[in-house]
Amino acid sequence: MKKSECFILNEAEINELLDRTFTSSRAYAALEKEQLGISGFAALIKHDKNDNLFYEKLAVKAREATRARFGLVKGLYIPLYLSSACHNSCSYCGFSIENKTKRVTLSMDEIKKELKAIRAKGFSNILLVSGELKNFSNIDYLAEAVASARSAGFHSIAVELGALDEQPALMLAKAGANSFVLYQETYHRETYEKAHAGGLKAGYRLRLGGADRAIKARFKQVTLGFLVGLYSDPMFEALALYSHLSYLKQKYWDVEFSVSFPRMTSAAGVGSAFKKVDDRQYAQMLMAFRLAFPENGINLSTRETPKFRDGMANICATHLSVESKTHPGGYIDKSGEALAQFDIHDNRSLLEMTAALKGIGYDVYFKDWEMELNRL
Amino acid sequence: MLEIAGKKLKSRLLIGSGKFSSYELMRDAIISSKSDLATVALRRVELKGSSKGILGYIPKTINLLPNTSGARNADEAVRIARICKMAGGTNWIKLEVIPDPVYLLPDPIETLQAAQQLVKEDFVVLPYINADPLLAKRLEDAGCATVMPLGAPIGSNKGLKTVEMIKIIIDICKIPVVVDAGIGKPSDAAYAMELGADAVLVNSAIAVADDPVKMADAFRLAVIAGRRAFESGLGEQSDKGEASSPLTGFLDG
Repeated sequence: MKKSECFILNEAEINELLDRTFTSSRAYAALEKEQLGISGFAALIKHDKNDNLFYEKLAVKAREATRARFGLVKGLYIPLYLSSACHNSCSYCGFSIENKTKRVTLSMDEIKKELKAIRAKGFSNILLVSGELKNFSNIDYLAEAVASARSAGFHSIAVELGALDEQPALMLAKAGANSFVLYQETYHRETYEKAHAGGLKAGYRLRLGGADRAIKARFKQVTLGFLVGLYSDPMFEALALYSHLSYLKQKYWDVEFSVSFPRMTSAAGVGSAFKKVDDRQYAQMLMAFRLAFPENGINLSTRETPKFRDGMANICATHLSVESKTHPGGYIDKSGEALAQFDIHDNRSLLEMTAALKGIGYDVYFKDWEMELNRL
Repeated sequence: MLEIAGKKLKSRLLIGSGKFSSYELMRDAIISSKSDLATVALRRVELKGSSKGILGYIPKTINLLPNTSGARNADEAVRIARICKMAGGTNWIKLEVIPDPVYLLPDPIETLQAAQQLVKEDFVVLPYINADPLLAKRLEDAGCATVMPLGAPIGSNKGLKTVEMIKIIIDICKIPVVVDAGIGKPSDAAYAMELGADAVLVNSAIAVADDPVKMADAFRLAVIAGRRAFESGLGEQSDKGEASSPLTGFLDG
């Protein structure tokens, strides 16, 4: 599809909102609004995080909205990394081509074994992740991995494999994938170009249009996000994501969206030159997204601590990864942990995680889809 | 007594099984509601494997009403219904065709198409619809067992926002009318029953309550009260002329 048919970020609009002063009463009024609008959203995320009255009200509203929409249940998911081979040179990622360590690409046989082990834990949803290889020439490999997940009895198959073109994305959908995950990494163009100097991700606009292309390839569930801290102003990113989501929702009324914007953690072989965003500010952004989009799933990965994840699950997070290994394989062969994509902070087992959520009044589920719904 | 497709149901409260904080609480709430019919989403049921899952917690005395949640068009809904029939041994299906992920509004065209196909395949079809009286009639003509118009969007707890259309549906439909979605409070349920709805379906308002078991009982009582009021003849708020009108009395004097 043409570039003009894809999302383009209006940086001027975002910058205007960042510069604008919102009064306290504007932020309080936004708490009561049913249709926030981007300026209402800006008022929520920009309001003083130390105004305890506002902050607690925001949390109460976010919790109410989450419970009304999603009930008292949380979805648990698990990623399977297929390959750490990657032609990209993302400055923050353990899989960066600049990182001179051994790469692992699982064979189809290994993938099947890993899938079987994950299925045996009770998961019915799977997220397949891989480094990006030249020209996506490995698309047959990825499609075969999706088909293997289908054969293994998974009902929902999410893919996080880069900003694919429409045809390869359609191949994955036809193989049985139903959910498409694509992080913009950063919506800030200059930062994006600096962090992705080479490889397939070098084109900012190409990445930005990835969700449009996946939707054209008939994916009906799409997760968008960015990495908190890659660009120094997380509010810019949050507003840009709001803008991206609003655009896509108007254009594709029958697509279901989720958001995920993890705070960066360090990774082996790469620096930790990213902006630290504190808990209060981060949580404020998560809660504001709930009020802005009550129907959207909000994912929280194991980059966050148990305390933070449980607390946010009780407010607005709806999906949590668990027992994640961020290197290829890992659920059977536990020896390859040397090259992980990023460090994790929540090492709880599935049982511990389930018990913790039960303890604060939530049931967990592993299945919320039917493979028959994926047939194209 | 409420009768759907020849099956007599003691309770006019139908209950949904989603969104509860545990299967145990769901089971206790269902028991407390004294409902005879509970809906279950196939997409949440694990058919393979040894774990009991949700089905193990729904009392055996309750009739299961599987739904097609997740389906976004007629084809998907029909496929899901067939899996339900094979897996659950029931030919009853709550037909939900919802392509809109924001307000979760049902698609009238795809719903009618799916209903026609499923009736052909001998399903007992209970379609979830927007409160559209003519769509309700078309579904009745297609052979559906009930119609289930929404009071407000699913999970919104906003009450009977579509009340004027629901009144018309109750007026013109011969098959039972079950008000589904939007019922946030027992008083909403009582209101629907006072209007002459044959039953209501409640899920979120019970599941998300602080005490779902007690709330299920509250809904049970509200449904009974509303029905009894309807049967005993409420003072009509009619749009038609009132026989007791004093305005024209002078003509007889």
